[in-house]
Amino acid sequence: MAPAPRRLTGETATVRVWDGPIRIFHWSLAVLLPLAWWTAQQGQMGWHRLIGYAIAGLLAFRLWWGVAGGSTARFAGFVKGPRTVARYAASLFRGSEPGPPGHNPMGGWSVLALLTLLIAEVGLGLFSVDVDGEASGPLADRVSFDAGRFAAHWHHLLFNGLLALIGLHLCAIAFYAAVKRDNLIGPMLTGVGARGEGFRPAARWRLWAGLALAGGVALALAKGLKF
Amino acid sequence: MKRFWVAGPLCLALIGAAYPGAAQDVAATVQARHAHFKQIGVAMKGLSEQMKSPAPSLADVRGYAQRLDELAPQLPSWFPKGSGPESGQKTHSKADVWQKPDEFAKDAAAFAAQTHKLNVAALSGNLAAVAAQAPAVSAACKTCHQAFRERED
Ligand code: HEC
Ligand code: HEM
Ligand code: HEM
Repeated sequence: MAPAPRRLTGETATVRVWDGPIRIFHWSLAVLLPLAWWTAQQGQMGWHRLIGYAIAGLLAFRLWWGVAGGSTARFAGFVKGPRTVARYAASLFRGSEPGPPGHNPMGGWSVLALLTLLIAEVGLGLFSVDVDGEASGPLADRVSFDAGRFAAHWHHLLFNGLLALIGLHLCAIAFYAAVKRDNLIGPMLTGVGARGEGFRPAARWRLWAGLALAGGVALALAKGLKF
Repeated sequence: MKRFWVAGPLCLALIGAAYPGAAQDVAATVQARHAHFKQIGVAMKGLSEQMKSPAPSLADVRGYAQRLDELAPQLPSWFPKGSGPESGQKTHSKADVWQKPDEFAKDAAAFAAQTHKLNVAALSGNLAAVAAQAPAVSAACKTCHQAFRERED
């Protein structure tokens, strides 16, 4: 049977699209990122750093899940070559046929860009020196004052880049909902959607390994890599 | 009349010499201010690293505390009139530094008082007392920065 065109309303969500860990990763990020911004604005640097470590742990988990997780989390599954991306982009405004579950070829690159920027943001934060001599990153003692201020400067600039990318992210999701009548949010919340078949979950031990990695990375960074 | 021909060009020459000189002065003032704050920042960074270290060096701690105690009372002199944002220089100082001079002076004085206490603690050789005083110093940095320094980097 050919897959029916997906509609925002009246579609039956039946196939698994995202596994639990990806969804928890995503919504944790969506909560923690605004909190990171807010605590920095308020000068609550103690909280800002704790949130930063949590985000670092999430990112470590995501990288692991990108090679070990469910099929829609795998980088190899959703990072496509330029030709595939171009073909997808060209079909954007036509009623494209439902592809396999997970990120589409353009979305895949946006995910990579988001993850890269987030990792860079955390990395810069770790070396940042603030102007109050109060709340430097845990690795700032490895670099000079100037290098630490340089990191803080880019930590600030890159955050604006992140905001732009998140704005694009939200616009893309709105575009799919409004123009393509494709509800992406539902699946990110519940894990099931109407798009495509063929999701393969990951073995349970990989989840435990990922959680251990995430906790280890967050703790190690919080301790400034001193043991 | 003769006097006019002497005084006139002389006056113009002086103005001509002083005009770029004045702009340069402001640039130098702002640069020196940044250099001073950098010294303060270096000392604070060094101090906090010593305090976090499992084996802090008292000599280093004393050096940083003394440096801060020397610099803090000078702070108001780094902000002469005309060296604010209106000068066109790259500065994060808010105009309020000069528009609310009493509050600025109060923050500067509080800062100097806290760094002096820090230095006294360092001289006493009691590292626990230094550790207890250090947050009061950075709180004084923060108070003034929140009021008088533009956040944008
Ligand atoms: C009484 C007010 C005041 C106090 C106290 C103060 N600062 Fe500042 N600080 C400023 C202002 C104003 C600027 C912006 C200077 C500019 O850009 O012209 C500044 C800028 C700086 C800068 C950036 C310099 C640059 O190159 O842009 C550093 C670093 C700094 N302060 C560190 C500190 C530290 C550390 C302390 C405490 C130990 C401190 N300051 C205490 C007012 C203060
Ligand atoms: C701080 C804000 C946010 C960040 C940093 C962020 C980041 C991300 C990332 C990295 C992914 C890829 C998931 C993965 O494979 O790892 C993603 C996917 C997704 N996000 Fe967000 N997100 C944010 C906010 C939101 C919000 C507010 C919504 C809902 C309105 C949302 C909806 C989605 C959806 C639906 C997907 C799946 C897209 C698809 O089907 O390909 N995100 N997001
Ligand atoms: C993705 C995670 C993070 C985000 C979104 C984030 C965001 C921000 C923002 C918006 C600021 C304010 C910059 C400004 O306007 O002046 C800031 C400052 C700062 N952040 Fe982060 N941050 C993150 C992670 C971290 C981490 C992991 C650390 C280190 C533990 C860290 C350390 C700092 C420090 C020291 C400052 C102060 C810099 C200054 O005063 O100039 N951040 N951060």
